[in-house]
This record gives sequence, structure tokens and C-alpha cells, in this order.
Amino acid sequence: MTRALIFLCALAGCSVRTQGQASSGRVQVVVSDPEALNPAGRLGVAVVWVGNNGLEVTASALVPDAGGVTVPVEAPADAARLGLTPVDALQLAQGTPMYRPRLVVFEDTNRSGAFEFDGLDAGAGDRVWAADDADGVGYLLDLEGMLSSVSSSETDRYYASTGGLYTPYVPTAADSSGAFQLAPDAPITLSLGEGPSADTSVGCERSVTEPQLSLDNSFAVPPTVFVNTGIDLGPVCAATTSQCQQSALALLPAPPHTTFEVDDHWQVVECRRSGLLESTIVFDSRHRCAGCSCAWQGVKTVYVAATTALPPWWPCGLSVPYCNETGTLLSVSFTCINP
Amino acid sequence: MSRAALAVAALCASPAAAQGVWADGRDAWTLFEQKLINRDLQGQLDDGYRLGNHLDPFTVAGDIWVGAQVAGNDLHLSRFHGFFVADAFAEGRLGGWLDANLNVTLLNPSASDGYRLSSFVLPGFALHLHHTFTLAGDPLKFDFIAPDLDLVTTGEGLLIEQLPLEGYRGRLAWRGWEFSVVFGGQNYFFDDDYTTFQLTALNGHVGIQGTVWDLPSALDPKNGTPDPTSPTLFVPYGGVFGHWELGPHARIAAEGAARMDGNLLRYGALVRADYLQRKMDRVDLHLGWQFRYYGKHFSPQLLDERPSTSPNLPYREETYVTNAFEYFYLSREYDQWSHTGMLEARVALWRRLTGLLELEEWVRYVVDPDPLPRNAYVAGFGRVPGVIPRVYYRAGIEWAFQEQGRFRGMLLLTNKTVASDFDVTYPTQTRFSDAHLLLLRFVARL
Repeated sequence: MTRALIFLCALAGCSVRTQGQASSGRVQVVVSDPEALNPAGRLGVAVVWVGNNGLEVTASALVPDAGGVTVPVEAPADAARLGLTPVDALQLAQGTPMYRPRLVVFEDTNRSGAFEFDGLDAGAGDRVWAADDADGVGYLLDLEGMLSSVSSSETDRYYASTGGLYTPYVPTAADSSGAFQLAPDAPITLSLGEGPSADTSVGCERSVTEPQLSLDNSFAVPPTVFVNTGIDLGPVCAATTSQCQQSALALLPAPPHTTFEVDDHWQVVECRRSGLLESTIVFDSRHRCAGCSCAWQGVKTVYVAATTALPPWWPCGLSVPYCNETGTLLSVSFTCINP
Repeated sequence: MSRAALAVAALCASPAAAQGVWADGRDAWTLFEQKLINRDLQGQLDDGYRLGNHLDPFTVAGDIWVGAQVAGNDLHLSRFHGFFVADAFAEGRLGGWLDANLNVTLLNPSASDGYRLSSFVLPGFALHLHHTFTLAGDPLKFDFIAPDLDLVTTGEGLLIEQLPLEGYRGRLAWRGWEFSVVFGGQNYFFDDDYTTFQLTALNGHVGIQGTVWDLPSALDPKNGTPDPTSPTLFVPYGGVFGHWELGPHARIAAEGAARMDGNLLRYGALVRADYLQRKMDRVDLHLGWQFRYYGKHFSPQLLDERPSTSPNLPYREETYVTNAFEYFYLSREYDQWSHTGMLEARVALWRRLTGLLELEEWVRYVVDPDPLPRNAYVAGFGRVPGVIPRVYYRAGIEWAFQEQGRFRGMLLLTNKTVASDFDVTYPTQTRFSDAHLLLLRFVARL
């Protein structure tokens, strides 16, 4: 019947039904806390549009206990005035310009129920615990232009990603090369981080300078070595130029013995053996920022003991397996970190 | 009307011209030039001027076109901007049961490529087995032909219309009934096959048909083209068709079909009406109207593949743009219906000078029946859903160098010329260029 009516309509020469451009989108954000940071205040999720001329929060919602919330995404009416930046390229056609609003997890420290950002390194606003990085939502600056320039297979991909909606708000994800691709419409997980990276990401319009290989460099920091009493310092400390000291390991506090990798905090615990000696290596690296410049800064601590005289907290062979890769008592093996 | 103009009119399309050719895939209800068909050659030749129809048991004929398609700027230059096409036909009757038919097309589409650099020889051969038995006192006609089927139209043209095909075709006809089968390999889509069975009654006026269209079921993820190693998808169709003459100059025709798409039926329909009259004082006139409906998923190909066709020769300009071929890509996502108005007129102006006018106004409605209509830009169509109006024309004059019109010269302005790649046998996804071109054409029918 519907088609018959459309047919009659067509006979009469009236226009055909089309889909108008969606004026807003939505995104579902799941908040996780892998480091068990347990912020004291209520957490919320905000959509923040940052530009050269300021920022605008278009939506924010407090996160229920279940940890997920859906927030609307809608470009501010004065987006042009904001001077949205940076403009990324979605890998469609020859690169479709898009802006990715910041999805921010904040602690509602001032109990206003909404996100209030006072700027980078400012202290009065809500605390930023996480901001989207690889996965997020993109706002296509010229949807019609994009549609007119893509191939039919790319059109298929676009509608598969939006669930058939004609919308400038699309889910995006960064591929292994860092290029942004259309992504399935799925919840985005943001992990709470202790460091200032998220805050910086929001405040610096994502234009954060990062030295190349900064994480690798942080692994190369000279370790602080504690050698158990009764072991000759010479052979052990000859392999390093860093601080090497004799200590009664049993009297030292037990070091951490869990390995984890979260957004801005890496902790690696590794055990090694060499002859009658074995070591526990604790590597801790955090993402530190000063202004809009960030880098990984690592601290490496090594505990060396004889297999026959291990301190009571010694984790090797128990909670931490031995790393059998080639290396010394003092070096972290990447192979053992990511087997 | 002069004798010359009358003779020229007789050369061109006419229902009468189609008589004598079994399963003629040409459209008899137009004033377009008609090519010869590679079978039943003797039945197509006019005793008055064809040179090779008195050589029993052989028949030979040739249609030669020499011409140029001239554009205002080089971007719109036709592939056939300085061409000749010599379509040579030969038929040998090998006894009472068997004909051997050979059609060799010699051509050079462009004089600009280098001396004979792009000359082609395109042979097509068909064995035609035929006999008339007697059953219950009435003749039982049997025909079978393979592999060159030349132009094929099934039903009234809802699925396939004036499409050059190779395959096989057979029929049994008795007392106004006819059962026939057509198999065509490589129709519109990569590695597709088309098999249709038809049963007609009342001397072909009404019929039913069942069709199976098979093609690859998946795209190769590496290059996005159909994967011939993927499982074959068999798409079944069922349909009815018929046509009725409304006096000597008019008729209506219709066809409806449905295809299985999972548990759903997808529909297509065609209705056309034609008025064609020759020798009306100084005028030959055809007026036509077509309505077509191709539902979403009516096309057998739901993958992202456009139909393509070949060979791309100038004779293919002698058809309407409105053709099933044009609907089968958008049918993947959209419902389409269209109205087309056709007009062709030939007016005897002076002695052997004839004025020609052809118009085809095609208005296509493209809609998406889904709750969320899918907006898209499709090359060659523009933005859809939407209304796509098109007008194609050809207008000019024709001079007959000889009374019977065996040799003719034409000067035409048009926006409908065949679109061809460098290699005219390479399948193209666009049948016509709509650039405005000046056509110079000399035609000899021998």
C-alpha cells in the first residue's frame, strides 16, 4: 500500500522521500578503573569541543554506578568561532576532514553535576581522569561533500558504521599506523589514569608534543641496584654505572610484584637468574607533562640476592615467573614483558 | 512522399522487418536503424536491393557504416570519432535441417590511433538446427541455435532487452503454443549466467517464464571485485508477459516478474505503449511510452558491482537508453520507477532528403523504502534518493544517394553516442555518452 501511494505520488510528480542530516549523535562511554584509583567524587562524562579560541562543553552526564553512560554529541552552534583544532582526516575518499570532540571522564569535584574545565594546569575546575585517545567520535565537517566524493563501497562502510543514519557524527578508531578509520558503533571504554595526560590532552587541543621513543628511552634509565648482604658487589655492579649498594633485602619494604600497562602508567616486574644469583627488577614508568609537552619517565630498581638466601618477600618463581631470555640480572626483557 | 523516402523508411525498423527471424531480439516498435541478425539471413533481405540473396544455398549481406562523431572539445570526443564498421553476414543452408551463420564485424573506431592500430575483427558464428515436424496434423516447429544468439530480448524486455549474447536457444512451437529456452553466458555481471524458460500461447501474445540467474556470491576482499571462486548464487525469477495489438499501428505490452530474495519476493514490472505509422503522407512516426518498476533487490546482483556490457559498437545507439541494464545497479539499494516518452519521426523534406528527429525523455524516481532512506551519490546518477530526469535526442538530415536508399548519408546532432573503451570489446558500465556530438555517417547496405 505504501509503495502504491508512493507510486501515485510519483505520478503526480511530487518529490521523493529522503533522509535529513542528523543534527546530533550520541556516544556510549564505559568508564573503567584498572589501577583501582577509586576517585572520591562522582565521575561524569563530558563532550568537549576545543578550539583555538576556547572550548565549549556541549554535554555532560554523571556516570551511574554501573560504569557506563550515553551522552549526546552535537557540534556547538558557534563551532566556527571556536576554531576547532586539530582537524583530523578520516580515511574515506582522499581523507575526509573531521573534528573529534574530546570525550572526557571527569570527577565532579565541585558537585555542579557538569564538567567545568578551568584550563591546563589550573586547579579550580573538575579533575580530568581520562580523555579519549584512539577511539572516539568524529564530526564530519562536510558530510555532503564527503558523500559526493566517496566510492560506493565506502558509502557502504559509512552506513554500516552509522547504522544507516545520515549523520556527521561517526564512530572512529585509530589503526596501527595512527590513521583514523570508521569504526563499528560500539561503546568506548575510557580508563582512569592518575597522571596529567588526560588533562593535557583536553587543554592542549590534543597538540601535545611527545619526544620520539620516549617510552623506550625510559626503559634505558640506569637502575638503582640493591645487592643483598653477603654478595660480592664487584661482579654485579661492574655491569652498571648507576647507583649500586649493599643492603639487607629482608629489611627493605617489599617492592610491588604486579605488572600492568594502563594509559599513562606502566609497571613491569621481572625476575632473572644468573648462576647462583637472581634478581627482581621493578620498572615503573609514568607519563609526565609540563605544559603541552609530555614524556615517559622511568624508574628502575633492581634487587639482587643469592638463590640460597632470598628475603621473605621474594616474588620470583611465585607470583613473578623467571624470565629466561638472554640478558643480565639488571636488564628488562621486552620479550618477557610481551610474550 | 517520394519513392526514395518510402524505400528508406522500409529499410528502417518495422514490425514487418522483424518477420522471418526466429526469436528476434530487436525492437520492432521504433524507427531506429535495425542491424541484421546472425540467423535466418535470407528472411531479412529485401529482394530489391540486397546483392547476396540469390546465391542459394548461400546468402550474404553487408552493412557498412563510415563516419565521424565530432565533439566541440576533445574531452567529449567519442571513441568513434573517425570510424568504419563493416558488418558482414553469411549464411549457408546445409541441407534442410541446418544453417551455418557467420557474422564478421570489421572495424576501426578511430583514425587517430595510428594506421590500423585499433582495427578489430569480431567474428560470431551460429549453427541453427531447425525442422518442422507434424503432430496431430499440425506443424511442430523445432529450432535450436548456438552459440551466437546476437541480440536477445526475453519477455517484453524487463530483464534482458536487445542484449548481444552467446549461449544457446531452442524452441518447440505447435498450434500457437511455444516452449523455449534461452541460455546466455556473461550477461550484465562478472561470470553470470542467465537461463530462462518460456511458455507462450496465442502465437506469442501471452506467456510465462521462469528464470535462473546465477553469479558469484561474494566479492574478493583484496580487490573488491566478484570472486569467481565463491559459491555460486542462484537467483530464481518467475514472470508473466504479453502484448496486444490495438489496430495496425498501435500496441501495448506488459511484463511483470518477481524474484525470491530469502523469504521475500522482489518485484519488477514493465508497461509500454507504442504507436507507429509509416507512410503517413510525408511522415513516419513513432510515439511510445514506457513505465518500468524495479524494486529494491530485484536485481540478481546485490554486491557492489555495476552491470557492464560489450561490444560497444555504433549500432547499439539504435536503442533506447531506457533499458533493464540501467536499473540493475541501483536496484541493489533502491526502488526505482520511471516514465519514458519516446518520439521518432522521419519527414520527407525534398526529393531524397529526409529530416530525422528522435527524442527520449526519461524520468526516473529513485527511492529507498527503508525507514532510513540511504542518501548517496552514485556516479552517473547523481544524488539518490531523488528524481533523475534525462532527455536524449538525435536530430538532423539524411540524404539517399540512390532511389532504394541503399546508400545514405546522415548529418545528425545528438547527445546519445555509444560509450566505448579503447578496446570496443572491453565491457563498459556506461552504455552511452551524453556529450553533444555531431554525427556524420555514411551507410551502405549491400
